[in-house]
Amino acid sequence: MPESLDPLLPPGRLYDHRSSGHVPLVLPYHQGDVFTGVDLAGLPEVSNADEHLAMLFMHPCTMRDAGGALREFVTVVRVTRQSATKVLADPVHWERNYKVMPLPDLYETGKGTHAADFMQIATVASAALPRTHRVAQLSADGRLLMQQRIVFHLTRHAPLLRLFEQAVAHIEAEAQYQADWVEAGTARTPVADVNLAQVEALEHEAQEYLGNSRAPDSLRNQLAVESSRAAATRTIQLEIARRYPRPGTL
Amino acid sequence: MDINTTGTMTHVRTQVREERTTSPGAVPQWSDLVDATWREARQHSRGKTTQLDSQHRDLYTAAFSDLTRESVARPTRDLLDDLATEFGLAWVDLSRMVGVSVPAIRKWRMDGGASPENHERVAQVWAFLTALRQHLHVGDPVTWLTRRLEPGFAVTVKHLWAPERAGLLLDLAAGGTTATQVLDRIDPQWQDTYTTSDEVVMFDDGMPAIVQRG
Repeated sequence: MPESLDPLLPPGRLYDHRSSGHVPLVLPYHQGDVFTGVDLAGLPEVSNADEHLAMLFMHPCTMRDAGGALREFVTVVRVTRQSATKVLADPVHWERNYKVMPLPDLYETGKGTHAADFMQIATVASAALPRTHRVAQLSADGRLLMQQRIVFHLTRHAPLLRLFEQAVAHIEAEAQYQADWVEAGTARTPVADVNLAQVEALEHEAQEYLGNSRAPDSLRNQLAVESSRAAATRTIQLEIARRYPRPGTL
Repeated sequence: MDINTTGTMTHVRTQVREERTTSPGAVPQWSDLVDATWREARQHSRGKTTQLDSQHRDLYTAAFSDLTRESVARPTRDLLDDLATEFGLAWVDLSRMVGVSVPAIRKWRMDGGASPENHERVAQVWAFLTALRQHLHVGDPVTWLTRRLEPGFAVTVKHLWAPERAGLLLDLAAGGTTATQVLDRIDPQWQDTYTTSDEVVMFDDGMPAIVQRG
């Protein structure tokens, strides 16, 4: 059993995307996504939160309804600036500081450090988190670190990261296949012309195909079970290839 | 040495049997010579077993290498398509096995552009899964890859994957070695590293949950 939480990953492995623009629209919402311009009513004004950053906090299983859509209201945690200049990426700096999720070099500019503060939680309408305001997305391993920190913050229990990996593998799979679906569906559209309406229509199609978690035989439920996940994956990937053959393979 | 094909020594066995026969119900009389001969024979047998294990694994390694050479000639995109549609491997698992990010895999799948080193790493994963299916008849290689190796320890084959371990892991799939032997060989500290009092089970809401091991 570990006697401390897992060390922070270097920024290159902590994030999948980070930018002063926005994360690609085709990527689904994930726990740990950071949004700018979010009004966190009820939280006190502080000087290091003037970017109005918030991190999607809710567990990936509960942030979506049975059909896979983001719920109307979701919980977020405030992201504050810890340093405007220093990239505090050394895991030692964050040892024993388990009330936050460190976010060094959030904009990939080579400077600055932010942190999501688990002590400052708010509920916002999911409409207040448009994907055009999403500035960062954690990597799958970054999300595991965040989950371990949240669980420890709330309960003082420190499960191994690999248990989180196993417990959320089906959610990671669902999100991946939704992104694969949207990516394939927009492959013939120039990236600059891909719009949110097109993305959301394809996401809806993908979620319908995965089925409802209340239907026992749905692909969504097959993904939840380790022994049927690979077979469900093959079925979904073949369906994506059938519906949206890659340009050049027709 | 008088060793027959099963690695035993007939004359020593006979001698011990005779001693037992002459003293029914008694502990065989101690003989330094008999003890030393038995010891030598067992050591020889262990050496022979180690040699056979190694040679057998070389066969698996060679099969893996052949499949890798075959797959390296194919475009990365085709290999990734195979991994998704033929094997059902998730990008996040592939990214951990290959040591690259998921966005990199997405980019290779849409536009190609993997470096020769990364292309080879993808080809090696394809070759390993293909060897499992074609040569060892593992029906669902990806499920085998994610199976917990030992109860109470959070470690699976995908966590142990490295191309240089392909022969050993194929031997595990074939039943030629045990999970404990593999773990001892790869990480002698594994009982400390991976031990956990928790486990993931299907909860009553139908979704996986982390609970204390019962």
